[in-house]
Amino acid sequence: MNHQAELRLQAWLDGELPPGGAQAVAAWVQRDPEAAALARELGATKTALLGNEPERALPESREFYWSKIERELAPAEAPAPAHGRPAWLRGWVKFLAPAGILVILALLLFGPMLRSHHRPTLASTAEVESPLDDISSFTFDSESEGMTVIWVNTE
Amino acid sequence: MSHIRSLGAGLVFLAGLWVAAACAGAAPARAAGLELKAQLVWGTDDQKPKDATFKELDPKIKKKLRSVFKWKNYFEINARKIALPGNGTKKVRMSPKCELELRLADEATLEVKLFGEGRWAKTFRQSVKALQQGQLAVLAGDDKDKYGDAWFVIITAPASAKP
Amino acid sequence: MAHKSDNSSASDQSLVRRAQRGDTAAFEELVARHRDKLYARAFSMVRNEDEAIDLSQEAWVKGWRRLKQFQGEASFVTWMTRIVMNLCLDHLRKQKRLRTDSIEQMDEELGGVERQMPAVSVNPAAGIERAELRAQIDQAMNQLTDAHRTVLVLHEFEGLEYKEVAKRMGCSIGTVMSRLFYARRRIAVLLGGLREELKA
Repeated sequence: MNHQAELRLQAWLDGELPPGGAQAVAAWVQRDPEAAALARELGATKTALLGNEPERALPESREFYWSKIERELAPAEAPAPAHGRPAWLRGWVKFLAPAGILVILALLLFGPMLRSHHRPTLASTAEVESPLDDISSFTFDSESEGMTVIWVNTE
Repeated sequence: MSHIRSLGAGLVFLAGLWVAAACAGAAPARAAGLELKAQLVWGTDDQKPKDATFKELDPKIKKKLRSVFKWKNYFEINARKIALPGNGTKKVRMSPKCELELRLADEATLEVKLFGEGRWAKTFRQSVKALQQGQLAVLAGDDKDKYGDAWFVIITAPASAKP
Repeated sequence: MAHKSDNSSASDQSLVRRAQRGDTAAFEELVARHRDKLYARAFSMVRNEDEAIDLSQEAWVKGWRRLKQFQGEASFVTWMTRIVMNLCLDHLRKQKRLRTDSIEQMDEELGGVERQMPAVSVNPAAGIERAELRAQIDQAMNQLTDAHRTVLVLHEFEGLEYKEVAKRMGCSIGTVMSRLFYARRRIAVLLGGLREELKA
């Protein structure tokens, strides 16, 4: 049996042949044992697969799985502010311009000195959220061991 | 006077451009990513069970835990290397009851969500710089399955990793 | 917003309508109901747990964004599985696991050792529990090439006609037919082999 014949037989089983072609293949399968055997094999495989797609449980908890999806569903950012200044603002800008120059110059001169007093600490950990009522926690930093610990209490 | 006002407005505009450019330079750029390690550790006074597959904890980390906590022995139940992208979230399952969701909130801050038995239990943030300088971020709690023992999730960043 | 317990007893239709009006809790219930199915379909295609999880989540997000386009022409889960299928196909193409150059196509079309084998006479579904059959099918599918597995999933599980499969896979109907033929033959041989192992 050549490959084209095999594919016609398969197409007949899958209902993909027009009525005339389907009748011809059906007759062929009736009289040819090799075609009949192949038709049985393909048909049995088709039947075995039908409705037996392997099932699989998601290996993540409901909430965990949802958390990432939920993050992506967050609403779009607020629209960008409109271009162009309103007239009342234009007036203020003109009024404040000279003072503004002085402020900017002051920042340029003295800014570096201000920043040096605000270095972030190494162990800067902030607990953000504790969403459940029955779970509390406390946080401590061990500077000597270079460790930040959040101890979670479940009641 | 009007020409002075115009000049003033022009100077304000130029200075504002300069400040904006400086701020843009200082503003957090999108982080390039971060290499982390997460370890699930069991703290106990018991000896390691004979048929158990978990490993002894790194001696340096064990010493730190022993300095802070009461337990004699600390065993690594699971360890995962995490390549955290600059934007986006990474989820890690440390055990059937313990899952982590990690992301870089910004270039300087790692945010970690802890899920215990499927429930979102805690979110905390840790300085990326602190981690890279050897700080340990530790989540811990009582072991519900064995009274008196504890679980720890230890997050570290290898020294060479950079955001 | 409806309470979680209200959502758990609501029909898919009702939840979809609420979700279309922006109710994320209703959408979360839909996700919870059908997440295993979507994940299983993604896993069938990509055979990697992490990738299947990511792709299924991406599908849910896409589904949310397109929810207003869902008119109920098919069931909600059918609509969602189409989305995840397309994402999986794109993923496989990007990873170049669905080869389209002529040499690999020819190999697939000519078939492997099955080409030389007579028809398998064992009926794979006869006399075994459904769960066992599914496990065997899963094992067998793991041994198919990506292209053979994809055509099988699209035709046998998704129920698409040849021309629709060809459109999704970006190949000719003839290629689809050949791939399907050899995928089925391979499954028959593998399932027959698994039955022999069980008997032994």
